Amino acid sequence: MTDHPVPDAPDEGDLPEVDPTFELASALHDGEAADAERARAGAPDQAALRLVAAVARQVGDVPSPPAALLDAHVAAALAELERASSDRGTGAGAVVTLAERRPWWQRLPIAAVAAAVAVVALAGVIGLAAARDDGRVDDDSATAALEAGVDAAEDEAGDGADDAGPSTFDAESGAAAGGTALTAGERPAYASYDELAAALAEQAVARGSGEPDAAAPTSDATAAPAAPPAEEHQGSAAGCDAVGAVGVDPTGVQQVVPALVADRLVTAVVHGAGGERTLSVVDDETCTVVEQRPL
Amino acid sequence: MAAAQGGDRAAMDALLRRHHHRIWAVCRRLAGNDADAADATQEALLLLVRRIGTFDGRSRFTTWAHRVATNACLDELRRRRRRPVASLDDEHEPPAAEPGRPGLDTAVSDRLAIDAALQQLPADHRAVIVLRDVAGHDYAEIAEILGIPPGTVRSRIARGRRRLADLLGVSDPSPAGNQPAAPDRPTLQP
Repeated sequence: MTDHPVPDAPDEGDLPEVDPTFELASALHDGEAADAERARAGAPDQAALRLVAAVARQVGDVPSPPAALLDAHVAAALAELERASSDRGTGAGAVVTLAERRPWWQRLPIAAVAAAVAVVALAGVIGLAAARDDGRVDDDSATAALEAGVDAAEDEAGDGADDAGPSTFDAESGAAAGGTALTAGERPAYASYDELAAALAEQAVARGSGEPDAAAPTSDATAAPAAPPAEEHQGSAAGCDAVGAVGVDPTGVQQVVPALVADRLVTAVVHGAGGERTLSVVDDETCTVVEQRPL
Repeated sequence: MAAAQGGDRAAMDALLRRHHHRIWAVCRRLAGNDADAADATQEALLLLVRRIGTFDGRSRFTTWAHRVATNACLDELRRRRRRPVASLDDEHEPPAAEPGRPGLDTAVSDRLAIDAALQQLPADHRAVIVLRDVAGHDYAEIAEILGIPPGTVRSRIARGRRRLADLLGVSDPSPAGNQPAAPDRPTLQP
């Protein structure tokens, strides 16, 4: 037995495009070709169909698991079930309020965050206008606007906490039962992981140059949630410990951003040390890492 | 299902046994060897138990379970890539052919070849092919499981199969098969 790293599989995009005839044969084999497509293509390519069938047969011919494995796996899973039940029975999984479990930034309603951002922006505009008019920034007016904005945001936050009511947390599944988790409409939406990675990379560049988060993800529903400092983040908004799921040292986590990618609720975790940054995307429903790449 | 979600041990036992073989098969093909597949399957079942409360019935349970399992398997394999692991070379050594059973070594070699070939595919191409040819999901279900568009599922399956055919040395008499055979073909069995 020797220690060695498992080699990485080739990167996505390594495979060349195939002839449309072969792709159609593949779809036909799977019963996934549309009628119009079949009609357009005429008689299917029998040789390509045979080739597809031969490959599919080999892939599908999976060796059976070792006999003892089923019992061992089921026993371990049932032990997990009992452990969770036991935790509930002893109070280890007792119901606690979400407000107590969540970091402060998750307790702020989106409306409050958006209001605070808007007020800060407004203050900047007022300050710039004053500077243009008078040749100097009117500190008093800008400060007053900021204070008013903070007050408004705090009021909103208080209302949101009240609205949340006696929400609960299911300790076994980790699922929020009455939660304030960001819904799909409240999250920045992306069509693909590539888009998400690009937005986060741009965000990092903007931060590095001292600019505001111009590349913060956008959503057609709401303003994107500003990415809070990494040390404030514990996990995703769906009751899944995203950082734990990634399995990295929490001190190396730089950003945790809830998002919606291809209609899937995910949490992006940016982590790394030195100049190296890695993006790990955690599926909030399954609490597993579904994508990982250098950023 | 409801009983299992409610924590009923017998119901959960039956549910896990019903789905174990298929989840094993998916993990086995994704992992490429028995040892990693065993660990990944275990992780998948543990995750199913932990997350079953989140199943809301919007999709078929099998689709949901395979989504959890596939993600768990890929996650487990990704973790293994990040750390050194014990060599499994012994496991990959084909057993010597037994006298009087000439077909056995061929069957084993075939399995090794398909394992090796699948491991040469990008993980996302491997996943779509395994979910199609091992788990039997249709393209829409695979799209849901992996969170990608159905059109991407279709193209990845076709590209992956084309590549596998080259790697396995499956002869292609069709005019569409105009790609050269890969130089790193894993072993045997045309």
